[in-house]
Amino acid sequence: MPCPSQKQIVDFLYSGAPHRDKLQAHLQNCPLCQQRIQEEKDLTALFRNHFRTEMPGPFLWQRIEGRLATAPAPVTGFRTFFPRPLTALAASVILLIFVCSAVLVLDTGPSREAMLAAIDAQYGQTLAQFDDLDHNPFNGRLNQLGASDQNPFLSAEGTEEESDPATNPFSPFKAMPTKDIRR
Amino acid sequence: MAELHETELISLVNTAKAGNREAFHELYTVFLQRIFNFVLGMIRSREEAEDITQDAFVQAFHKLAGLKDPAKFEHWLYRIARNEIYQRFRRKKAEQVPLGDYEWQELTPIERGQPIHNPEDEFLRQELERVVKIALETLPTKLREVFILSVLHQKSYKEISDIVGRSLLSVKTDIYRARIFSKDAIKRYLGTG
Repeated sequence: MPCPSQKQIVDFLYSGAPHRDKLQAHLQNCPLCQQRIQEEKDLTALFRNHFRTEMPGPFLWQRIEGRLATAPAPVTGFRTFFPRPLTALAASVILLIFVCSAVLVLDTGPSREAMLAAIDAQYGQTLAQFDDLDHNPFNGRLNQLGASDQNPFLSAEGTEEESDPATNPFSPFKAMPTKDIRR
Repeated sequence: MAELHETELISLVNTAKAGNREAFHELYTVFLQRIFNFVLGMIRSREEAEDITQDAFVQAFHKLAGLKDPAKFEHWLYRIARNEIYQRFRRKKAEQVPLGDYEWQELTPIERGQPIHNPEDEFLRQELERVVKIALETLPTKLREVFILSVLHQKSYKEISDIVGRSLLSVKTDIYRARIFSKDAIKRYLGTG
């Protein structure tokens, strides 16, 4: 087994390192690793022996006891209602999601088909009104404009004239090439 | 430092939970030195360390009813003290304040009630104490807390992970880094690096 890293040595000394048996076998026979172990032990010993432990002043308990006699400070403001703000926030979010889901799932309004049928019926009614020529405000006007000389787009019979594309300025075929392209 | 058997601890905690101050005083007596020195290692000022220790014990008494597992009272108390320390840090940003000397540095061994050794030994001891203190102070807070708990309070990695609320892997890495930092600091101050 190769020499373990310094971190593995620290883990071996102060924590449960993996492959502990193999590591121990190696450490027993490796003078370099033994030196590294000793270095870590010395560091620990230096701190343990030279870190001075202290005791607080003799009246600390009296001060604590004086405060124990009084009830804990009353909780006021926001925390009165929400002693745990994070929990309250999480609960609010969950509640909001639940309510939104419920609204979507339990939608009690008219169904989509019923709404479409109602729109169709309304539309049909409107069309029927316009089909009735008596109610068509453009009907009489059209009759007045019946003369073909006044309407350049109507023939004498009141139908659209089959005009010559060459002379009709509005013909879309005017600019078409006349070359035979059937080849 | 008095040690309690687990059954005694559970019994004391349960009695204190019912509001018994004598039982709580016994718990205070057992854990005071550990908590105070943990706080002192972190906060550097003796006065503030006393205040924080006081706050931690008062908090512990008032929140004791919420402690589910009485056997974990010590870790729970460490966590309360740690929270108090971090609250103090946040309030005062004490981390960035240059370190003052501990009050005890100005006291002589006689004043501290310690026996006087050979002057040379005494000088060496004081020097090592100073070096250890400086090495500890140079550690970043996050590393310092795990280092104190591991090396000085001899807590297992699992216990430390429980107290500081970080993963075991993170604790292992931080302890290792803290050891590297400390070694470097000691070498630097002892002039062997």
